[in-house]
Amino acid sequence: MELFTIKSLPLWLQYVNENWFDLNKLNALIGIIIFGSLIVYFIRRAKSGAYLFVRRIPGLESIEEALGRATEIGRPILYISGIGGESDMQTIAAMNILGNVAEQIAHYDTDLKVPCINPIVMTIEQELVKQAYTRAGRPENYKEDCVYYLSDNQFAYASAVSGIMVREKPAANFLLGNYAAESLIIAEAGASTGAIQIAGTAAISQIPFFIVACDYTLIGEELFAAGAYVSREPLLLGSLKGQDIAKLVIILIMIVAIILATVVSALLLKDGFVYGLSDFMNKIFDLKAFK
Amino acid sequence: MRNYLPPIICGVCGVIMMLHFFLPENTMLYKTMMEWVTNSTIVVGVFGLFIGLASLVHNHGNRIARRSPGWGYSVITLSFTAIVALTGIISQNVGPSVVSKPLDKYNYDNRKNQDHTLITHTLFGYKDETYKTNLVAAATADAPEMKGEEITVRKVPLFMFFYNYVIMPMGATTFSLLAFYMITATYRAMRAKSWEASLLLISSIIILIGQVPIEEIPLIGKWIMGHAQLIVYMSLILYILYAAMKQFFSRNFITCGILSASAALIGVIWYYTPANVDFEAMKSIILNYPNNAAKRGILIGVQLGSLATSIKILSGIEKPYMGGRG
Repeated sequence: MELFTIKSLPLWLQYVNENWFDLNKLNALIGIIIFGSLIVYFIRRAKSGAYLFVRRIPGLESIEEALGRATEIGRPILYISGIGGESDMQTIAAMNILGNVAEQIAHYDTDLKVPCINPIVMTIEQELVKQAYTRAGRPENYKEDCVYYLSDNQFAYASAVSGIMVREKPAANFLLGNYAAESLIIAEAGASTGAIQIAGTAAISQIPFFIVACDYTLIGEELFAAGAYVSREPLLLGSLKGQDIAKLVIILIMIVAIILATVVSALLLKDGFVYGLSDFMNKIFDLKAFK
Repeated sequence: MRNYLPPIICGVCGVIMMLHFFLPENTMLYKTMMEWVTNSTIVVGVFGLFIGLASLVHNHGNRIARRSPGWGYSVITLSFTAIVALTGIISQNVGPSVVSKPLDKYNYDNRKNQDHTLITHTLFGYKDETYKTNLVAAATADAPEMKGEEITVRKVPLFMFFYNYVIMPMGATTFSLLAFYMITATYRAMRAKSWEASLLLISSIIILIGQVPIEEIPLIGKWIMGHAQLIVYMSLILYILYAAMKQFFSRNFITCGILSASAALIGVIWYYTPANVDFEAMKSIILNYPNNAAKRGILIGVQLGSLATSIKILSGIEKPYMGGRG
């Protein structure tokens, strides 16, 4: 289509494309603006006090049960935030949940152990747990060495965590964040000790492993929703609602695109309005649409 | 100031990184920013390394001082941390000597040959493996060494010995444990406890049979492959009819009717399925359509979740770097 060729653009836009803004990424920018605005709108609505319904997530409902059980039998709680670095979105989501879980643990006065694979993540999590204990009004219960570094080697870390599970027999294991091949090693070691296991990852290839080896699994986006769900803070719940509406918009776009593509394919269309619209929808999701 | 400065730094850096994504990749600004990010990551990473080391020493040192159970392992951990760190610091020329033998089959200049010899240095000498491979593997071969036609003696850095003969084999051992864990996990997953679990079981059996060379099984292999459709559809229909019968005896006539209709529908689908659809084709259908659709659904949710988390962090609603919410 003529619309998507660089040479058909005005000279100033060609200059901008070469030096300041890659026009191939224009669709990404528009997507960010639209979906970002939706999320910001619902955050503001939540701020104004509007009631927002959020569906029940069994994995997160069971957190309290897991903490209660650990307190009853007097065994520690193990929290593992995956093998991602500090810039990994899944690690950030896992850290958000850790803050809330640590706050509840502080109330129960149970031991918390957070072995880390990344020193930077460790430093952030130390601060998180410390703040959580302070928020809970139990700063004296915070132990400096409850968040500690093990190894930055993936399998050395997996072995060390499995060892901790077998030796210290934690009552509850939280496996949240970014995981790779070590997911099943850790989850199976935990399952063999009889601990309640709550797992969550957005790594699609690891989700089946967690489903078979853990009691509750947060699938994909539920991991990102967990922080808001557990804290029940209106501001955070607003962002959840925004995500849901954004998903609805995407589903509607997909349905329209599927109908158009089917019509084009069934009627063997080569030009005309329907073909043009179908081609346009195809190209607005392409990061190399401008040739 | 202590409360305001970190969110401001975080917000500004986040916006800069977002703008960086939209810059054309061949511009000087893009490259300069990339270099800045890489250098900053290295600097922060080095400091992080010291923090990690300090935590390791503190944690294991405490265990040794308190004579906690298993404190001997802490001694070993700390000792090897020191030894491996030292081997990385000392000269690259210090290390065991290994002999490289003439490489008759390696043709460095004529890569079209694609027949290479890779020398693996071991603690007990050397091992050479001649293999046919592609150019990527050829590039990993120790090219300057292999050009020579004479027997050469060279020093292999001590750190590489530790890495190749201690860390790598131990990592591979842990990784290979996955095979056993997969069996126990599969055993737990493959139990037909409910209707959904039964579907999972049936589709996993189809994929399993589609993946393995069934035809190679003596006597029955070829028969199974020739009657794939009969086996799959009959198992499905019989299972659904069994479930329908159970519902009938429990006096749940509506459920019984729905299940019987499903069995009839599967029979119709079977009638219209082309004869050349075998286990491999069924496997491809399951992996390419329902499995792929589910994966993409999850991916869309994950990306939206990431976007929402980014907005919350950039706008200071969530501040994990400051110990929690804002």
